[in-house]
Amino acid sequence: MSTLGNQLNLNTERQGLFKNMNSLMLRYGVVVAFIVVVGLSAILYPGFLRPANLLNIFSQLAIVGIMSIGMTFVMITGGLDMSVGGIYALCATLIASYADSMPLPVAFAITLVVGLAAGLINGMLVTRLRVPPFVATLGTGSVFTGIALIYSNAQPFFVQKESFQWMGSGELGAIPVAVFLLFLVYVVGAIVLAFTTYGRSLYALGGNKEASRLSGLRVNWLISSTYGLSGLCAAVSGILIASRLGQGQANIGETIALDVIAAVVIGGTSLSGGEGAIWRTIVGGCILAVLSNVFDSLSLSPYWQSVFKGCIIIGAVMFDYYARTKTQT
Amino acid sequence: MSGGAVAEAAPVKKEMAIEISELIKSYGGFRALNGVNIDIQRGEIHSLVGQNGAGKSTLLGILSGRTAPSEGSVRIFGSELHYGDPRSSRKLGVATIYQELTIAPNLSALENVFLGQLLSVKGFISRKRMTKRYMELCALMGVNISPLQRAGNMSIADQQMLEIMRGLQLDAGILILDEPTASLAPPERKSLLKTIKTLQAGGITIIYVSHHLDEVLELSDSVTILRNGEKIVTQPRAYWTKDKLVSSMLGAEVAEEIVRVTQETRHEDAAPGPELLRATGVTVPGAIEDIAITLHAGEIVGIGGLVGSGRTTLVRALAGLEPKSTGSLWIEGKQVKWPREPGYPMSLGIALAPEDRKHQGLVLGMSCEDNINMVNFSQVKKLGFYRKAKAGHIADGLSKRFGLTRPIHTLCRNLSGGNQQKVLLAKVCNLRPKVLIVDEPTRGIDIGVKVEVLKILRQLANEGMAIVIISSELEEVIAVSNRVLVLSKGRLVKELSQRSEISVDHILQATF
Repeated sequence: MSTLGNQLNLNTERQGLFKNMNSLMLRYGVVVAFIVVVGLSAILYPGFLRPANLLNIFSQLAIVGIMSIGMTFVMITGGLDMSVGGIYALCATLIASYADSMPLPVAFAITLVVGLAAGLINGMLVTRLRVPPFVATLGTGSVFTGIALIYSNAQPFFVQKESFQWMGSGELGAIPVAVFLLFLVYVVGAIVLAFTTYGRSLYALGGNKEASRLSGLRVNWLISSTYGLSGLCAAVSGILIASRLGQGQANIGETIALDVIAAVVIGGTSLSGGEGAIWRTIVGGCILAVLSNVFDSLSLSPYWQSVFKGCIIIGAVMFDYYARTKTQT
Repeated sequence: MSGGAVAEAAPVKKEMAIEISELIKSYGGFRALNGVNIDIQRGEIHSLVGQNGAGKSTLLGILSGRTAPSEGSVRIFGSELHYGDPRSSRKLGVATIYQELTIAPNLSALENVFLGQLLSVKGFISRKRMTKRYMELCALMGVNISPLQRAGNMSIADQQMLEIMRGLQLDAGILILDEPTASLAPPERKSLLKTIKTLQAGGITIIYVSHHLDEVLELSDSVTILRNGEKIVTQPRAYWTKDKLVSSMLGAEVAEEIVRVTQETRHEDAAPGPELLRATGVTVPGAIEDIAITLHAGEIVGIGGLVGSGRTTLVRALAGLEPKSTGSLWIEGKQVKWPREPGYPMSLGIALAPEDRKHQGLVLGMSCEDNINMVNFSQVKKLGFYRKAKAGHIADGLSKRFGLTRPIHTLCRNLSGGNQQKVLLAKVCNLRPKVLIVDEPTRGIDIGVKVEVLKILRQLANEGMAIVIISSELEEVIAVSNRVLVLSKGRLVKELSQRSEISVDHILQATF
């Protein structure tokens, strides 16, 4: 019985595949866009496809890419985390300040706990105190940055320990450690969101909060946990940047939240929640990283990069909206 | 064209106020109206009767100019309507009063009547002219409402009078009333019915839509029955009895079916099963007060009462959705903590299928499978991972049981209301509850599916569940319930437990 059913489903899906190239295109448009971007890049920049350049791209992507995974969890539930830049800067400053004075595992642990706690504060503001996510995290982001500035007196902390720099600039085989870390976060994030009941609950929650609450899901806990994850990811990125630069500074996170959100949004995760996926965010991040790589290689001014990036974000959201209205009618 | 031909062919005895011919309205492949012909004589009170989804609202929408028909024609006092243009409908003399009032509470009675159409003299607002006209309207309706009173301080009934005056203000010849008595108490109903008669005497043609068949019989000169977008019959008042109205409204087959469900379902001779749930002193400040309810295995308990009587609040309190509620709760004889959050009563075996499927019941962007499983993730979880195969198996079994006619991977957004309701029931039953509460389980779904849903509920009860049902369609409550508790203004006013007692009349009498 069930195999027959499966075959039937398969058949209808297959028919759909050929009949509805259009809706497929709408659903996987971001992949097509990515392929186009890569193709154009390979033409415009002959060295683009060299392994060294590709590793360089991922290495550049690592900081934003790791944070974009946490952000995806938040945005699937319909939230938004503007404070990642603040947490990122705070964690980078903190770890640079004490990495020399204690064993590294302890320093890492403390920093990760700070990031997690900062995220949970966001979660509490959003759930218990019902502050709209945008406002709550905009506020806490400013607070976190401010704390980092006060703590460091706006001066960078330098790390002497050489072992500390391994994470940010070391290599395993020929592959940078940061790229390993990025892939690890990608894989874990993808598995958790796609294959656990926790992940399913987040989709349900983002799709319909009231129905989820009435279904007995612990809505407030789930929402808080996503902000916690986002804070944790920001802490990882903060450690990574401090390790890469050998220093921690409070003013590094000012605009990074926008890049993180851009990666998620370009991938096609809905701003209104309930829809999206980690693979989308990965593709979105890769598009941004590839463009930035090519622009750099063409010596395009960063000001123009900013203009292009803005246009791409708007275009992605417009496309997403268009695809949504098309596929839903 | 065809409209004209029909009008000429019909032997015109009296002047027609409205001639509707071959009216069709399709939404995609669905025909909300399918070739409807109705002639309404000038000066009569003509009632439209039908189930939800029969096409009444669509018809009213076309007459009032809110919707444009797909085919066919409507003539008002002989001239053709400009379809889909509310202003044109008003110009031809059609005034529509909807169920939901559109009174501006901060304005005076007078200002509300002339809202958006102030009378003026040479460009200046003329209070004198408006007051004069206001008094004329009051006289026409046989009411006396001070023009300076603040509308927000007036009773619902008086606000409704204002609404009607606003409709008549522009010399309307035809007044459409959609469920005008739904939120009125009996004395107010009586006076509204009197007002309608007065208006008729004043030469106004009235189209009356109501679920209250007694009112329809009391008021109408003729009655048209709509069912599934078709006109079933139009007959003068003398032809109709309540039974005739019900059976032609439901269709002979369905009427039989409902009777059959009724007969096979209510076996009060059988001793009730063991007590599953007892709640006493259930109070939600400002909504319900000191209500007691006991549920036994195998019985269906209906909750009767109007919208706003506190019936939904009562079941929400039992399901832990009213944080301010107080009361005492026993499950299978053991006292348990009073629920104030939704997860806890679920663990006690109380499941609620909420009234608003789309906003409270289902996640429309997810598949049936995910919706069914989201209520009980713990049984499809292994080390935190979602066991897709097992979840699919569970969803498949439940959706078959509840007669879902689409595959389980379909997004709920793409299901009909009936199928959505089945998914919702499958979902809450995935908790394997002892007590199932269903709020408006048949709202907005086809009559055939309604009967199916009622049958499923009966089956579940026969297997040992206790079921609580709330429905605005009292006939359904009566059809399946072993007992009916009647609520009014937040209090339990009557319990009807004998078969002979359970009837629409008894419920309504107890309500007031």
